[in-house]
Amino acid sequence: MKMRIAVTICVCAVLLPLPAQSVRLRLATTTSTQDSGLLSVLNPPFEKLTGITVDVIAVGSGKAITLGQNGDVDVVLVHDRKAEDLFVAQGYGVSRRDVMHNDFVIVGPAENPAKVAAAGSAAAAFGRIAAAGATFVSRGDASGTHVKELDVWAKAGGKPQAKWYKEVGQGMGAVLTMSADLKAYTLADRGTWLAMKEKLPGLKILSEGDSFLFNLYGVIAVNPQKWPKANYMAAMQYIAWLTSVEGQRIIREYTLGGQQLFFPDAIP
Amino acid sequence: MNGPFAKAITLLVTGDSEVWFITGTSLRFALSSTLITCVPGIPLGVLIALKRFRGRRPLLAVLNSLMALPTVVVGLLVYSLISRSGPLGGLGILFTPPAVVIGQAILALPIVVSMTASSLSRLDRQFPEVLVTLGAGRAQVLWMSVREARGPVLSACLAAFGRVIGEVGAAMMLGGNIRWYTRTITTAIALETGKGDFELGLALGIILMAVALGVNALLHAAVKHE
Amino acid sequence: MSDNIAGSAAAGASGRAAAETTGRDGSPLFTVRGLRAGFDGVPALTIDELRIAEGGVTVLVGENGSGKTTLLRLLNGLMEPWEGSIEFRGAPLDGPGRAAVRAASAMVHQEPLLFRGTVLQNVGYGLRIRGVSRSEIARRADLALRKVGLAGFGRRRAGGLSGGEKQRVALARALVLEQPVVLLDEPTANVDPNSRRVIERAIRNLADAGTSLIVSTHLMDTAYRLCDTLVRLEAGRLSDNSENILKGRVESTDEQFTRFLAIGDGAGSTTLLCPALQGDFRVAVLPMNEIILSRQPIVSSARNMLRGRVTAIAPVGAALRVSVDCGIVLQSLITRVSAVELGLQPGYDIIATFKASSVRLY
Repeated sequence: MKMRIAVTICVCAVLLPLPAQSVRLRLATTTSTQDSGLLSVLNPPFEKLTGITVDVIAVGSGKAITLGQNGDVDVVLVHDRKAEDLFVAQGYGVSRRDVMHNDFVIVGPAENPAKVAAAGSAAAAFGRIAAAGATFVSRGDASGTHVKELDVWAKAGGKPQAKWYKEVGQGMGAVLTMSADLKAYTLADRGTWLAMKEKLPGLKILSEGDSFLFNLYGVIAVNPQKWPKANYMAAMQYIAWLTSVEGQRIIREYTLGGQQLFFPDAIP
Repeated sequence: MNGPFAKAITLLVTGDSEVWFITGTSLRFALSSTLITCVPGIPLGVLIALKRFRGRRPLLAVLNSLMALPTVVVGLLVYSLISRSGPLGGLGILFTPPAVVIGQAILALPIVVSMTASSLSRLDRQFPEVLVTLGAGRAQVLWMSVREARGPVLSACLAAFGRVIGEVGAAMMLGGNIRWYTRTITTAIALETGKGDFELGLALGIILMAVALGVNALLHAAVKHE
Repeated sequence: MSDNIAGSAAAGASGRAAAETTGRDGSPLFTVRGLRAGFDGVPALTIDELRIAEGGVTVLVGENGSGKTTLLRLLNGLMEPWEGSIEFRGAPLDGPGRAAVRAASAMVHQEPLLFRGTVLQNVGYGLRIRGVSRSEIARRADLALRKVGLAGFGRRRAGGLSGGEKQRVALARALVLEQPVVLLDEPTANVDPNSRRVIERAIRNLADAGTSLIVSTHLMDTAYRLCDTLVRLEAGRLSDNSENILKGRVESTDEQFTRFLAIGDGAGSTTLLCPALQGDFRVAVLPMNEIILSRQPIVSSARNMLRGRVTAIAPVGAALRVSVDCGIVLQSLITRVSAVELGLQPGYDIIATFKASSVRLY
């Protein structure tokens, strides 16, 4: 019996997880960025080039910023300009660079009960949804998408307080699936929409193109003055990669369902 | 329900390396954290059961209610300790495997302690006395008591294992769901369902259950042989 | 010093009770002084003075709840008294004595708590934690099991045994340690007659081989059969013995009577007549109040009439206890009035008369 215990312990000791040895760069980004699949194409060449392993921690925009503030990550890639500017102004981040943009689209049931117009502003579309009392699913999680959505509501007359407005606190994919199930409207980033639209029967883009729905991505390194232990050098290398010719090319050439998702902005 | 089952089998049979990786990671984390928590957990449980002391009942009540703590809350608590901005930030273990193991060990501890204590309190009160009159020292009394109640104690360990292998709150918070590093079956399920891929989420869930069942069966078989 | 192996408890009007048991060499194994102990504020035991000697079987006898188990656990250091001191071979139990008694004693509890596993694993446990080799454990365990009549039971599962067998295994588990002191709590209660016989014989064999045993029991028969010394407990206090307990052996038996040779501490002995009984008996019990004292021989139906000399007279409550040396020392309880009428004094010649049926053999 004692032998058995010893063997079990040895086996487990072998399986015991140990912290890795290679240089690691911790990147906090949003779930929608990760879900778009871009990073799976963008990061490996960087890793090969530099030997740095990129740990992608995908959370809501708000949490990504918080992680940066706490010094738990080395670099932050989000799409919330106001929050990013505050982050830098408060001294948590340095070297902010524009990386790319995609846009948001307003999707909804093909029947379009709120009669949202294809052309026209996003605010007008939201106004029609509110007037019709049509079901709307909100991210409700302080993510970049959520912030943009609230901004549109602000222009359309204020955040709804009614039953048809459902704040679910989940990721983009789940919200889209729910919208398909509930035949509801929602605001989605084009990337996730393109990735998932095959699986969302009855849902289609009903309004797009308003420049207000512009979704700009920024990358910021965590301030080494504030967090000396942050891997500043690797963070700067990553920022260099994202904004390099090669990096920007990969971004431009990344397609989903045959369509280009992101438009590079780093090099004017 | 056909879809997820078929998908689960396909994933395993075709040897999808990512699925095998996260399965292995889930197992490693859960086994390590359960083993680690048993080291203080079982002796603590034995002590609580056998020694009469003030505040024994309230302590057991506290332990029982700790078992109801949401995993996210435990994750948050540990995060606040090991975050760079926290007191133990210098260790730099956040978003690495040890962080997840620690968080899960903390989750498992109240289970092991309270279940061990209750199983041992069913032992005859005189049992430790008998051992002492035969010349046993304190450590030996502990060992023999656990041995006598080994069925229930093993159940306690298995219950702890079950809780940690199926939890996602602490693993997500402390591990960060980093691909090829700290991603487990549970955090992967959260990711996939977040993306809307419910079928894959279910398939992974089925794999997780199969693993948990397998471990349970193995351990029970090992003990039966005694 | 009394040949009567019953501890002589001198009880005064104040209720103070002290007892001293006589052992082979007279040195005390345990000394208890001013003892008060109990549970949750309820007193269970009050003993002013008690000395238990080395060697032989000291039986603590009393009803359930009289404090015998408590006393046993106090002696072993498993329990702490509220007041008073206990010494083991001169060493106080709240000091070096505790380790000493633990190292020199083994205890068999009332409930035979056997561990999971085989009989051998149980019996060998104490040896195993002492680091004895496997082969040596097997040898000694085998011997111990033989002593309790369970030879060959080594491989059996402890859980599948009968109550009596379990108790015997528990006994073997203690015996195998070959400790000089063994404490037993109700070793024959709730046990089948065969197991009871085996256990009692094993205890006597141990005593004859030199082990000191302290046995607590509520069964009078067992108490008589086992004792070299008897300590009575009643409601947590020592109480007087009202019987003569004499060691000896059967000389002969015929149709009518058995002749029992009672052997005293010194060189003396006396033959007692009692009703015919088959068997090997080592103890004769003769109630003190059934012995009639007279100055002259009486012609009566009593079969036992012994000449002797009064050696001591002690007050016991309202009565008097008269010790008479007639080869062995017998004690008789008589009223003060009778003593006065007889004009009894120590040194007097006296005749002790009692019926054969007053003598019970164990």
